[in-house]
Amino acid sequence: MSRPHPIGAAVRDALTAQPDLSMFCTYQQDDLVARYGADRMVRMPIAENAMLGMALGMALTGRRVLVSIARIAFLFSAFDQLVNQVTTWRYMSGGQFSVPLVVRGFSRGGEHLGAQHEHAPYGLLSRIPGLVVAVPGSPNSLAGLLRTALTHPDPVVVLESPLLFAPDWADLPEPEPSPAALPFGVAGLARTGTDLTMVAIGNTVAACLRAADRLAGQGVDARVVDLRTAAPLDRDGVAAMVVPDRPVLLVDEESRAGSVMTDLALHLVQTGAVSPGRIDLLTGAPVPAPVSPTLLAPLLPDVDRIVDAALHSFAPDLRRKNP
Amino acid sequence: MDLLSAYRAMLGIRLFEEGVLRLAEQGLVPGATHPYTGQEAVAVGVLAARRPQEWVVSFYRCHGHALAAGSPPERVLREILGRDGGLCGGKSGSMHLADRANRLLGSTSIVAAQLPIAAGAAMSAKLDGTGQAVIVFCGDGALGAGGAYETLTIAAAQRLPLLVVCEDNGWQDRTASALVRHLAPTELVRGLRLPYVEVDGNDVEAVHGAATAALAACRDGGGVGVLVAHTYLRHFHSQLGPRPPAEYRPAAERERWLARDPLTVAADRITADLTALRAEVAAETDALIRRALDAGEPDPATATTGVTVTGDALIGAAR
Ligand SMILES: Cc1ncc(C[n+]2csc(CCOP(=O)(O)OP(=O)(O)O)c2C)c(N)n1
Repeated sequence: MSRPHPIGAAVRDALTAQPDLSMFCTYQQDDLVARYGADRMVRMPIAENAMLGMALGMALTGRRVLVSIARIAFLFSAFDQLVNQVTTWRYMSGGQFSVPLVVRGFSRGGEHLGAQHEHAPYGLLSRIPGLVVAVPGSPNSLAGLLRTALTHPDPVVVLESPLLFAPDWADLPEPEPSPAALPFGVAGLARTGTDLTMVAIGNTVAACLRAADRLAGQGVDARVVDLRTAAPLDRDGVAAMVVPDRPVLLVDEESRAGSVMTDLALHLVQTGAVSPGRIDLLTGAPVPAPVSPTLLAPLLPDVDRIVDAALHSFAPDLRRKNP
Repeated sequence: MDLLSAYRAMLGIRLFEEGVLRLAEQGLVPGATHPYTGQEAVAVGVLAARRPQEWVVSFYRCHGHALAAGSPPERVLREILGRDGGLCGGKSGSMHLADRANRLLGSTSIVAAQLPIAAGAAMSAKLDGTGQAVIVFCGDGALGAGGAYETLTIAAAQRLPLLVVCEDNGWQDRTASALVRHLAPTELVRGLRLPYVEVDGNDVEAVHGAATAALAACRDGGGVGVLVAHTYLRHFHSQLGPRPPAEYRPAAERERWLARDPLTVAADRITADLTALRAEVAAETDALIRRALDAGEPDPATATTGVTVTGDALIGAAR
């Protein structure tokens, strides 16, 4: 039997527990409207900038809004409110105000919608001071991070991979034991292992876990770390989770320049957690997403490429183990 | 406009779109497809009034606009299927068709983003001084976006030769427009003091007549004009993957509209026997679908081309 998606309970629990919580949605969610009323479940026209600004106004006056923006691609239509307004208010007011506001939307994964819909911009968003950027890599982690977001005093964006809602979502590797609230800025150990550490985020969590299974079949015991949030980025936590003297592979579908992984790599090397010769990155290409699956495939890291990188591209220790 | 050729063009779009939906159900269409079935009279009626050099700007529901603008159907279908030889090399897919040769400036999958782009093209046209207008299509939902008002305000003040064709099908995805907006598109543009005409969007002759007059006014220095075409989708808003979505619109509303199909409205006025023409268009469509399905995959090496002029070198460096 199929278990219910953990996100449903996370949203309903918050709406029930917090009468001050409203939700803005461009898509009718009849069940929620029936349950919580059209005043709290506000149906919106296609007007993302206005939606974020209104959510800010409500947040400043003592309420909390969950903005269901459908796709993170549409958040770009609301960038003024996000970058100039929502995330600066606490700071500019000298701490007089807080902005409890959550934006959730689909990032990318398996849908082939093309360059204007397929975005996982956690690196970009992580550069906006004052914003928490949650990037769940599994269904339970999605529910756990959203639960925290809905009680957090400051703005949070939750980037939800469509893969977390695909018909086979229940078959995804699930590193979290339950959908309980997960703290921000704390990376999780998704799989233990001693030979190398793979650091993953969002869609690459499942890919690395699957790659680790394959590597296990070849005698390589890989540890997988799930960053969970791009901001705050758990630099020290990851440094403590890598295995001393063993290689580290950072895997990201975002491209490399200015990414959370390059940031993390520098920290790992600077703190001596890993030696410069034993760290490598496997990232997406800096190319807008083409619709054709044949064209998209070479642009993103997948399980094959992760296994290949782990075995061959940089880790002489592993190579020695697997001639 | 010759009604018979308009009928043929509308039928071509209808059969093309029904073919795309069949292919989608077989899992052969990557990504999403937004059918144009039921709205054919708008694209055909408006674009029959266009001068060949005038730019057209579209949105994700763009197949019908592209075909009516003159894009080669087989290349459009190859693009939708992500096959070799597609109009945009497999990069656009169904939602972002562009065809420079036929003056289709492009299509955007971000609602309302096409409006300012079209206004920019209209500003170029104004500066060129060649008396050309620009045609932009949008749904009624697009008028909820701030960018629509910004664009209409600027276009009005600058008297840009821009014809905004609003295809008012009453819905924005699964949300009824009336649920989220207190004014109809005509009331909105009236409030902005823009010249507009309201037309039966399922009557290709009415659309054509209104578009001809509106475009003449635009070209004449009259500035921005709005054509609100009342119409309806025969199929759902969009399909992602092989499973068609469940119907969400009230049955009575659907029946009322489907009884006034643009193909029937046109056919009822044509005295000639349409049997041979229908068979001919069906055979043409079947043939182009077969040829598109025979095409191979695009070369994966082209995935990284065309990012920027120097893109290929940059990608090498970034990796
Ligand atoms: C900025 C933005 N917000 C939301 C969406 C999601 N979306 C895609 S189509 C659509 C409905 C648009 O309706 P309308 O403009 O009336 O055109 P129609 O699809 O009915 O032809 C929505 C909300 C989007 N693509 N872009």
